[in-house]
Amino acid sequence: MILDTEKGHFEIWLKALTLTGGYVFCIYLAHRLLMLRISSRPLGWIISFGAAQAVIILFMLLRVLFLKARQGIRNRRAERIQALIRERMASHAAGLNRIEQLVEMRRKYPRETELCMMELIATVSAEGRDRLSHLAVTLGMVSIWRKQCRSRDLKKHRQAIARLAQLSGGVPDAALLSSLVDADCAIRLEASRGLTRTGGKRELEKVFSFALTQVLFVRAILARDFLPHSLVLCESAVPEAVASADSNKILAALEIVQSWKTVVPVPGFSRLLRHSDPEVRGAAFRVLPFVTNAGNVEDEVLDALHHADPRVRTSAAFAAGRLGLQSAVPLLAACLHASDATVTLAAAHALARIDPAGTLVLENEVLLSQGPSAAVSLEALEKSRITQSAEQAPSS
Amino acid sequence: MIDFPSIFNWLEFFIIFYLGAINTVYFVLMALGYFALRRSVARYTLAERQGLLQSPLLPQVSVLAAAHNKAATIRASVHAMLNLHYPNHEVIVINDGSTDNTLEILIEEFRLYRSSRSPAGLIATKPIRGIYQSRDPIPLVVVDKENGGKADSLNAGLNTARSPLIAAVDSDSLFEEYALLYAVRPFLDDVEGTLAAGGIIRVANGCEVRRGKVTRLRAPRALLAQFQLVEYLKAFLGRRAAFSFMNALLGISGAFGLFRRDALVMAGGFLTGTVDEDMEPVIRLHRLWRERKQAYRIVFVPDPLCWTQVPETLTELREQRNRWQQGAVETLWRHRKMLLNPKFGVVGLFAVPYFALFEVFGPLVELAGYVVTIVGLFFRLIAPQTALLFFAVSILFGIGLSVSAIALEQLVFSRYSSARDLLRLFAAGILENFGFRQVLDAWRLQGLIGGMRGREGGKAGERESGRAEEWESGGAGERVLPTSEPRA
Repeated sequence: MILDTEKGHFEIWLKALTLTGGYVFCIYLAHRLLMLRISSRPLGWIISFGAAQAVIILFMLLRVLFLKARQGIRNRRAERIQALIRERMASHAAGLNRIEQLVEMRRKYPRETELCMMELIATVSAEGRDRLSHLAVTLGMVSIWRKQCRSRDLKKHRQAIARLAQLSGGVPDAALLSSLVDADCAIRLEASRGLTRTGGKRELEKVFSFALTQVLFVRAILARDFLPHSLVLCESAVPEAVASADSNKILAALEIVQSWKTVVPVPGFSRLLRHSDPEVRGAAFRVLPFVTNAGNVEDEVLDALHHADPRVRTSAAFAAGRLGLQSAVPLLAACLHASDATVTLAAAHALARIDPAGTLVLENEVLLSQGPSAAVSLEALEKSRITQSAEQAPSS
Repeated sequence: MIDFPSIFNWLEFFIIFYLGAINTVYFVLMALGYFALRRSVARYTLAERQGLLQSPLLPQVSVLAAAHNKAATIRASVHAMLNLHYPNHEVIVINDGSTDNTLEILIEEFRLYRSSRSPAGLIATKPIRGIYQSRDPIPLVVVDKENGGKADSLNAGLNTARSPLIAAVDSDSLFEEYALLYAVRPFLDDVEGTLAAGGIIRVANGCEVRRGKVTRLRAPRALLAQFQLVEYLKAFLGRRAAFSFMNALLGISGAFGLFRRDALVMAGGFLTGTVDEDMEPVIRLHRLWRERKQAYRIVFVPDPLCWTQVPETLTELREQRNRWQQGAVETLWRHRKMLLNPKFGVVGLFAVPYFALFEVFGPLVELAGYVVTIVGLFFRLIAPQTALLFFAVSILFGIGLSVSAIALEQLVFSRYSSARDLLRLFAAGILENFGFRQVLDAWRLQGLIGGMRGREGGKAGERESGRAEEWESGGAGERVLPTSEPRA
C-alpha cells in the first residue's frame, strides 16, 4: 500500500471513521423509528440492527450489480462503435480530413471517442501525433482534461495529466509544468514523461534535474525515457548534477547514466573517481567504462583497489575488468583474499576478463589455494568459459 | 446457592459484547482497507509497466522455490518462474532431498552443470550436496541439499542468493506474469525502508487455466471453495490492506513474499521447525526493526501475485485450518513479549493484541456463545431476546462483512466479469455464516488446543511433499496446493 502523504493517511482515517459512524447512526435512527412501535427496548435494538444490516447488504448488492450491468452496456457499446471511431481517427492521423464525422461521433459517444483517442495517440508519432493532438483540441477534449487537472478526485486528476502528457505540438502544456511539483507521485511521473516527449532542451533538463530527487520508481521509468536524449543531457544537465555538492544527486545522475549502457561524454566526471564519499566514488567506477572523456584513469583504478571501503574496491575491480587493465592484476589477485565476499567475487570476475594474466592467476588460485578464494576463482573461470563457448557457438 | 440464570446472562452478554467488538473492528478495518485501496497508487498504468520492464534500474530479485519430490510438476513450475515478466531476476530452486528424480529432470531439462558457486553460509542449514547452473544463458540455479523442510530450503536459497531482494514462493502456485513487477513496487518507492512486501493470493478453483496461467477468472463451483474464496477476500482486501496502511501487517503469504535479503539474513532467515510460514518471519522483522528503533515498512501490495487451489474436501480443510491455528499460536507465543508492549508501537499495541484476542481466541468465544445460548434457551436461563441479540451480532454482522468483502472486490478490482459468478459469491457470503463458519471455528479451536499443548503438527516442509497430483482445468496445468492463510 503506497500512499504519498501524511494528509492522505489522515483523509483515509477520517473517511473510514465517518463511514463507521454513519453505520452506527443508521442503526440508532432505525431504533428511534422502531421505538415508536415496539415497546421492548432490546427487541427494538435487535430489529433496528437487523434492518440496518439488511439495507446495507441490499444496497451493496444492488450497487455492485448496477455497476456490473453498466459496465456490460458500456462494453457492448464500445465493441460496436469503437472500431468505427478508431478507423476514422486513423485515417485522420494519416492525413485525411475526418473532423466533421469525428465531431459528430464525439457528440454521440464522448467516452468512446476519448478512449480511442488515447489508444491511438500513444501508437503514432511525428505528424500523425500532431494531427491527433490538434484533433483532441478541436473535439474539446484538451479543455476538459485541463479542467480535470484541477479536480480533487485523484483518479481523474491522474488520468487528465496522463492524457495531456500524450499530446504533441511544440509547446508543452502549462498543466504539465505545474504538475512537476504535485504531491502525487503518479502525477509527477506522467507530467515528466510528457515533458520529456514533447518539450525542448530546457524542459528536458528541468525534468532530468527533477528526476534526481525522485524515488527509484520514477527514476527507473524516466531513465529509459532519457536514453534518446542522452547526448543532449550530457551537454549540461549531467555535468551540472555530477558537480553538485549533494551526494544523492550525484548518485542518481550516475545511476541514470549507467542505465543507458551507452558511451557518453560527461564533462567533469574524472574528479568523481577521487570523491570523498565512498558511495559516490564506487558509483563513479561502475560508470567509468561508459564514459568517453575520462582520460587516463589507470592510477585512479589502482588506487581505488587499495581503498578501505569494500564498495569502492568492488566497483574498482569491476572497472578494471571492463577496461582490461593488465596492471591491475596483482591488486585484483590480492582482492581475492579480501574478507568481504562481494570484493572477492568482483575481483575474480574482473580477473576472468583480463586474459591471459588474469585467468592464469585464477587457475593458480584454484590449484594452490583452498577456501572461498579458490571457489570464487573456479566459479569465475567457469562462467567465463561458458560465456565464451556460448559466444562461439553461433559462429561454429 | 449458585445463581445460574445470572451467570448465564453475564456470560452471554460478555460474549455478545466480544462479538460486537470483533465485528466492529472488522468493519473499521474493512472501511480502512477500502479507502486505502482506492487511494493506493501501486497499480501500474500500461506505459509505466512497459517503462519498468525495459528499465535496467530495477533491483535484481532471486526467486527461491523449495522442491521436495516434485518430479511431476517441477519442469512446468521452473518454466513458469523463469517466464515471469521482470527485467532482472534469477530463479533458485532448492531440491530438498527429493527421493524421486526431481534433480535429474532439472539437470536434463535445463542443461545444468555442477557449478562451483558456493553459498555464503550466513544461516545454518542442512548440508548442501551441490549447486547447479545452466550451460545456457538461463538465470537458473539449483541447490541440491539434504532434506530439512521448507524453511531450511529457503535458508539455503537465501545463502546462495546474491540479489538484494528475494522472493520466497511455493513452486506449485500459479504466478501472475507480472507478479514480481507488482511486488517490487514498494521497494521502488522506498528502497531503504521497505523490508518486505506481499500481495493478494487468489483462489484458482473454478478458473480456466492454460499453460500454467489463469486465463479466465470464475467463481468456484464447489460451495466449500466458494466459502473459502469469500474468506480470502475478507482477509486480503479488508484486513491485510488495513494493517498495511497502519504499517502493522503481520502476515505475508508463504506462496509469494518479497523480502530484502539483508534484512532477512539479519533476522536469522526463515525459522525451521514451525508450522507457520506466513506470520513468523514478518513478526520477527517487525520485532527486530522496532527494537532497533529504525524506520521501516512491511507492505501489502493490492495486486494479485499468484493463484492457489483451496481444499475442496472437509478433511483437507480441517487439516489445513488446524495447522494454521497451531502455527498462529506458536508464533504468538514466541513473540509474546510484543503483546501490549508500547516499545513495539502499533504492532505491539494493536496488531498483536488484535491477533491474540480475535484471531486466536475468537473461535473459543464464538463457539462458547453458541453453547451458552442454546443451553441457556433450553433451560430458560436466558431470555429469548438475549439469544436473538447474540445471533444478530454473530450471524447478521458476519453476513454484512462477507457481502462487504465481495462488494469491495468489485468496487476496487472488478475481476469477476460474470453476474452469475457474483450472485454465486454473494450467496456464498450469506450461506457461509450458517454452519461453515461454526465448523471452521471448531477446527480452529482444535488447532488452538493443539498449539497450546505444544503438540507436533508436522513440519511445514512436510506438507508440501507427497501431494503433487496434477490438476487440469481446460488444459495443461499443475495441481496447486493450499498454502496461504487468509488472515490479517
